[in-house]
Amino acid sequence: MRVENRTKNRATNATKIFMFIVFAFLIAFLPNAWAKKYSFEGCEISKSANTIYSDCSFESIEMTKGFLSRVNEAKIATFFNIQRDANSFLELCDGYKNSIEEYRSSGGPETICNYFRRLVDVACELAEQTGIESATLKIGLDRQVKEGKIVCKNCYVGDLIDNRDASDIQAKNLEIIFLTDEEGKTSIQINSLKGLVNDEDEVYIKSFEVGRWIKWIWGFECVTYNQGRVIGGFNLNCWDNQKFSSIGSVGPCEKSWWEKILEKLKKPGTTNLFDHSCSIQAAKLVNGEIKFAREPDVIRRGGKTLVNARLDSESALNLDEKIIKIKTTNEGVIVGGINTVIVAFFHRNKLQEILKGVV
Amino acid sequence: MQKIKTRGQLFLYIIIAILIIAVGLLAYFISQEVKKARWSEEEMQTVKNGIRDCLEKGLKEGIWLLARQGGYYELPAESAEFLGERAAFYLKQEKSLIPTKRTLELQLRNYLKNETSCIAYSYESLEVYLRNNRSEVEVRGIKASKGKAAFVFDVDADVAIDPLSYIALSEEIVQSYNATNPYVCIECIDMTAIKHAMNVTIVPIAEKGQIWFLLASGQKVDNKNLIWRFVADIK
Repeated sequence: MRVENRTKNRATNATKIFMFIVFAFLIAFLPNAWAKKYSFEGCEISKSANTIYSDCSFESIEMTKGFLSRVNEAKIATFFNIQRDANSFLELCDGYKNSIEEYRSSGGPETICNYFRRLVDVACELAEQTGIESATLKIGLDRQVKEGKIVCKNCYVGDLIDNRDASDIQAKNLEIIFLTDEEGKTSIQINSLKGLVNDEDEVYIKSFEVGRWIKWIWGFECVTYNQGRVIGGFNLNCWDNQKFSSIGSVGPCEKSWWEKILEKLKKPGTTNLFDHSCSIQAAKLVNGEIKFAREPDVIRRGGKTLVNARLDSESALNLDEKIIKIKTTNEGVIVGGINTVIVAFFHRNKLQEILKGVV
Repeated sequence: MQKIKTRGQLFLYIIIAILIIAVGLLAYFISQEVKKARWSEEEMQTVKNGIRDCLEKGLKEGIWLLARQGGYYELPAESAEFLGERAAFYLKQEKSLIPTKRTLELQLRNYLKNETSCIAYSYESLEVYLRNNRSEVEVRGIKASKGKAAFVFDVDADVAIDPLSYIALSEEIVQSYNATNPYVCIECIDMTAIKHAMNVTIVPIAEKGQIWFLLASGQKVDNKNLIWRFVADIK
């Protein structure tokens, strides 16, 4: 009997120790995981397979709580965890908009109301546009742009333009001034904190193409897709679903399905992330020609498909198969025509075999 | 007395017989030696065929090597290397560096001279010509010796491989790529490849700023694919 009790006690103690270890582990690691989950990213509105999604995350639990309390006050909580068919989502749009306006008129913070309204507007626009196969728009809060002038040391141009956390273009020691003319056209002037940027100065802007720097943001352009074909402008390929460049001052664009969305996104405080068509990028003027920080991967010129030899792996996977023949394998990507193929991102051994003509 | 006379005659006959045999043997050996120092038609043909076969093999191997290196046996200064593979640049800083027909011929000639030992005799000249969709080698004034006997002859060899067809396609590809660099015009190169009945594989190596072009017409050399490779830079 005693022996049985002793055995029982030992088992109980072992269980306690085990539970202690498990709890210690959870206490040690859960807050990190929690915090990571809620690091600030803003909200993403996505459309895929005609379904609208929204997803928001924040930099701290406090901020999340604060945000959620505002969401509840505005009575639009369902919007922030939505996953609905575009048509049924459209039926909810007016309700969300009315709720936000009621919240505003009842004394809700203007900035928050503007932000909620922008999210709802963008989501409704996405739902309404039948030509969009898939798109993701990342929308952050307007925090930094004040009086059209920003001074920044070592921050992202994306941040500066629209207060975004875009990390495609880095800048340092810059003064960026937003100028709006009488017609409402926005231009951006960038000055070096050491003096005006000129050719003799050190480089200031770094594109996301590793190791390539540009000295001057000359302007922005856009690209227009129609039925999967590039019909104008320049294409800045989204390089993944987390980081993206920005839409600042929009240059001459063809009328297109996304122009309507641009109208809504042009307001300060918007981060945009398109799956299929991105719009603008930093550029510089070289010998009278606009050179973009990062060349697009595929362009159509004179009815011909041109594939950039510097095609990068991420954007290769996003190439539109309607434009070019593309085959992705576990080994790499093959882009091609009838007798011609471009092979990229193959393992080195495989590349060597290809070069030797073994395969 | 009669006995002595008979014995003397016998001795004389023996001497004469030995002399006749010796002269006969000598004549036989001399005739054999003379025969050895002369080239028979059959022997001459065997030597010629041996050299021709060897040159044909050398031509094939030389063209296979040249194809891999963009038409060069001795790579020029403007050449690229990747994973141990080497090939010549055909386009660098917008400058066309495509080898001429004469360059290819000289490179192939140097290969045959340095890398093969087909001709064990002295010769006056060895030239390679690329013409009529064939690659030809002409060796003139081969002097084969056999003792004091020698005969001088020429050997021609050829293979049905046309390196100039790859050069023709390369020129069109380079022209197209130079106009669109850093882009590759898929339709443009595709149309050219179809026109030349060849396949083109393009391997961009962005980290090195190189783009490798591999041209294949399906020809094989000793069961190995003949791949003509050249490199262009990426702007």
